[in-house]
This record gives sequence, structure tokens and C-alpha cells, in this order.
Amino acid sequence: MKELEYPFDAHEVLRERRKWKKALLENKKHYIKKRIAILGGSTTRELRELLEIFLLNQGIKAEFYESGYGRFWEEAVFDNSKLDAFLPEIVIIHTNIRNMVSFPMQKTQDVAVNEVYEFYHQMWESLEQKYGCMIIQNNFEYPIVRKYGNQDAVRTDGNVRFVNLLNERFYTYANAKSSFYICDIQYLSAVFGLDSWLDAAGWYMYKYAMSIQAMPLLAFHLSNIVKAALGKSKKALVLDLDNTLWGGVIGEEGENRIDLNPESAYGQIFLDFHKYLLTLKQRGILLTVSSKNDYETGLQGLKDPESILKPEDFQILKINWERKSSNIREIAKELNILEESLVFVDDNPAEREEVRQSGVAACVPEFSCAEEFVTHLERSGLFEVSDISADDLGRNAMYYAETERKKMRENFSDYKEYLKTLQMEAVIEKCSQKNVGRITQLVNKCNQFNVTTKRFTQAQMEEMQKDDSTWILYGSLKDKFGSNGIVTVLIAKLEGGICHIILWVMSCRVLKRDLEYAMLDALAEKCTEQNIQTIKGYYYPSGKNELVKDLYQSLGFEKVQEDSTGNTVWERNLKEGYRKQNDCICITKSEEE
Amino acid sequence: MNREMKMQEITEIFRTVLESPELCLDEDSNPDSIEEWDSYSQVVILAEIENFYHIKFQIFEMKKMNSVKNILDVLCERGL
Repeated sequence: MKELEYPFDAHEVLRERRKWKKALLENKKHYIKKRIAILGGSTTRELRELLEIFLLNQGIKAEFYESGYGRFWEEAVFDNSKLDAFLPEIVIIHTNIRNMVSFPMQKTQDVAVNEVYEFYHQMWESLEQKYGCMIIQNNFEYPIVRKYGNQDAVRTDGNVRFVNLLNERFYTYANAKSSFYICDIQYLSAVFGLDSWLDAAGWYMYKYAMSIQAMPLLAFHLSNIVKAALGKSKKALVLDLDNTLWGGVIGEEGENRIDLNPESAYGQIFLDFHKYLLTLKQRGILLTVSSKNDYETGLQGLKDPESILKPEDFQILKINWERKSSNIREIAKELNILEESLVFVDDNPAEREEVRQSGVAACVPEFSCAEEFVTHLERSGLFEVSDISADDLGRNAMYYAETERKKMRENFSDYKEYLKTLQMEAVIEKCSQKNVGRITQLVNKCNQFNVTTKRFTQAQMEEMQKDDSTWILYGSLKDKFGSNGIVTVLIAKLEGGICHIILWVMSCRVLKRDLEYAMLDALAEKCTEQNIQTIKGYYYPSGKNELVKDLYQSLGFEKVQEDSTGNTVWERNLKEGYRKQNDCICITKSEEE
Repeated sequence: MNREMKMQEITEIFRTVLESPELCLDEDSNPDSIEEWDSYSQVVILAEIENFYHIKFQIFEMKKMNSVKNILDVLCERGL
């Protein structure tokens, strides 16, 4: 729903949210379901209602629990049968500077900071122990009262300094914990304006931590954190060229006349946009181009000596006269990602409209001018990060290797022959504490090769990793063109002598490489060792995973059940032995040990 | 006249916030007489009135505004 995307109108959201909620619930079919507890140091009902619709708009349907007013700490730390029964998957601790009842007066500041930190720390640990849930904790915005004016940030007993030190302690904890996230309300309050944020009427009249007008913004950001943690952030950009990556139109003004001049105001805007795109690229966002131009002419612009982005920074350059929507479809196909993982940036409203009308699922942000590109993309949370893995940092290189493979594939008529020349090596092992982060990310990101579309938080994954009756098998794959990193995960539960495959995902980058055979081989071997004679597989259609509808059939399973919604259950018997199916990939041991 | 116009304007606000397009208000309407007008919608109603008239209520005014009559009184006192 466009109205709930950045830059939404906070008033409209407050006014229309109930109507929009109904509309959202009617429209979408496939929601990820999550149980979210909001433990508040202030009234949280408004926040809950707003968060609900922003999450719905992100494809997440939440069920909520709200703590009693101001009882965030007690409800987390002491026995709480209601919360136990709710069993939260995500806990949002909605506290802020209003909960800082008094600032330290006598004690030295370090001691006081430590006391407050310990108070929060105890709560986080208790929640983690009881529920193994993901935790989102607000940091603290700046206080209204500064004891020493401008020197408050400097003096060792200043309130501003106190907040800074305390926040820093929160961040240290967040850095060390995988499923603990900070909601940066210090930044949000600065964007919103601290005086309006800490609205007196809101607090004294209704005990709202911040102005009601600020709540849509906060709810939106919370929904971005949740979305990112569930792997629903965007993965690639499709960029126009003329007046998007440089000022002017390259064909019209002559090849050297486009504006990327570091001395001109206009040129600087585009160069700053280049720099921003480069930071996105460095953390794993793929860059592509769709531009209406002759290929050589368009390319000339990217070869401009002033251009910070070079042709090789882009995975795909669709510089042609095709419709943008069909270019976007092609790009999604070539990158093997969903259309909805793409963000389309074009200065031309007509092109944006064409893409929107075409039914392509790509996200199309609205801009009125080039200087809005960076702030809009940044504030929109489209690329919100949860946890940057080594694979994210190397993703661009991996896609290049894929292009090389493609070239080679075209030279082979026999596919098996081609696979063998790739000299593939796979590591297939049980998930360990060390790689559970990347594995969780993959589990939550894959949509197409995903048999059941179950989603798990990192805390839940860690729990399963420790559990003897659950196997989390991962596979990483490399070949002569480079490493793909961890690309497949299979989760199996052992129950009553049967091995149930409750989830199996594979990155689309490595489809048709026989890795699924290698994975099943490994699973069958493990089962045989444990004297388990039956493997059961499940397929639940999600609207996106048509690809694996017949996966189990192709792996030699028999269909034993099918219901009216298309859910199927498959079985494979190991009693008569199991013959290995993979003969293209060499299985090696993990290099870590 | 002015008061009537304001009555119309705030009626529109009430209708959107309370999601009840047919809602009619009179001077005596208050949270007891209108079911959807609870303490939570009160917050949004006041915020929307502020937004509509480009004003910011003071807390003593907000405390007074517990009926349509009192809301209109405050708006008139503001010279709107």
C-alpha cells in the first residue's frame, strides 16, 4: 500500500489506519505470522495499532501482547504466566528518556551508568533465557533538561553525557548479541525534532513516551527492523541513467556534456548519489541499470572520467529501447531473485508509472527531484540491515562468477558434462554456533526453493541447533569460478523413528547444480547411521515456491497425502538401502576444523 | 455562523477518526453518548483538530475538551 510507504503522511496514517488495516487484510494472502510482545514504559496501544498496519504492509501479520502500563521490567523479569502462554517470538521494549526517573546526582557517573545498564541487562537476559526471542530495545533520546547547557555533553556529571554513555553500553551489548536489535530513537527524534518528539501534552495527558504525531514514524522503523530480521529487505537496485545517475540527457547534449561536474551544484548531487550507491554495493546490494538509450551511448556516460560508478560496478546493464517493466522482469530473472526484491529508481514519473501499472512487483519509490534520491532511499528503510554476513560483502563477486558460468554453460550440449567441468566441491555439515547467523539469514530470505516457507528467528535457530532431535544441515558450494558460500539449509526433526524435513531452502544462485541430491545423500547417510528408515518431506504452496512443487518426486519420494489447498506430504523409505544420487559434486570437510 | 461551520469541520474529523461516515454531532455529544469516542480516539481526534486548524492545544485546554460543546468553546476562545 503506497500510503504506508515512505514518505507517508503521519496524519493520514493516524486518521485512516483502521480503514487501511481492513483493506490490507482483504488484499494479501500470504503473511508471515509472528507473536510480538510490547513491553512499555509508557502507553503502548497507539504504537501497537500503528505497528500492526505497517507490518501488514510488509507482509507480516502480528499477534500482540502488551504489558501493563509502565511494567516493562517487572513483566520481563518476574514469573509471568500470561507472557509465558503467549510465548513471544519478538519482544519490543518500548522505553525512552521519560523512564529515566532521575538522573544521578551524587554518585559518580560511571557507577550510575552501570546501575541503569544492569537494570536493563538483567531484563534482556531474562527474556532471552525464558523465550529465546528476538529483542528490540529503544536507545535513549536526549533529555529535555540539560543541567549545564552546552557543557552538559562534556562535564562528567552532565545529563547528555549520561545518555551518551548509557547508549554506548547498549550498543556494546547489541554488537555481541545476534538477536538483539537497537531501535535508534535518538536518531529518529533528531529527524523529527526533539522538542516536538518529547511533546509535553502527550506525556502529561496520556502518558505517551513521545508525541502521537511521531508514532507512525517510530512504528514504521520498528516494522523495518522486524522486516530486515526476517530477511525481507530489498536486494538490488534498478537505476535509470539520464537525470538519475547524471544530470542531463547523454545523447542530446553530446557525449561529454552530461553533468557530473564536481564543481557544479547539480553535478555534486549526482556524484553524492554515486557515493551512496557505492556504500550500498559494498554491503551487498546489487546495482543494475535500465535505461532507454543506445547501448554504446549509455555506456559512454558511465565511462565518464568524473563518474564514480564504473560500468563494472553494475551486474547488469540493460541499455536498450525496451519497456522498463520488461527490463526489470529480465533483470530479476537473470539475477535469480524475486521482482519484489528490486527497487526501481528513475527521475521520470512516466517511467515509474509504467512500471507500477505493468504489475511488476518491484518497489517504485516516488521522487520529485534528484536531491531526494539519497535521503528517500535511506529513510525508506528498504535496505534496512539486520546482520551483515561475510556473504553479503562478497555477494557482488559471486554474481560475477555466475555470469562466467553462464557463458561456459552455453558451450555445452550435455548438461551433466558441463556440471562436471565446474569442479564443484561442497561442504555439507551440521550448523554450528559460528555460522548460525548466515544460516538464519538464508532460511528467512529464500522464497522460491523453499518447501514450507517456515521462518525462524536467530534465537529459535540457536535453540534448534542445540537440540539433539533436530538436525540443521547446511551446504556450501564452490567451484572453479569461486565460492558461493552457504547456499542451502535443511532442517529435519526426528520423531518416532521418522525423519521429518520441516524446512529446506536453497539459494536460487545454485539451482540445477545437483546440490539437492548431495543434500539428500547426506541426510540419508545420517538417517542410516541412526537407524532411521523413513524420511518424510512436506510441501506447502506459498504462491512463490512453485519451483519445488515436484522436488520430492524428483528425489524419489512417494506422495502419501494431499489436501485441498495443495499441501502435500512425501515419503521415502530407506529400508532397502539408499543409493547415492549425486555424482557431480565432490564432498569435502569444512575447512574450519 | 462561525460556530456552525466549526461544528461541520469537526464533524468531518470525528467521522474519519471514528470510522463512522454517518455520524452526527450536536453540542451535547460526548464520550458517553458516542460509543466509538473512547479515550484512545480522543487522542487522535485532538491531534487531528490541531492539525486541521494549525494550532497546538495547551494541556489545560485539552483537559476541558470532553464534549463537543467544550471543544467548540476552546476553538472559539482561540478566536478561530
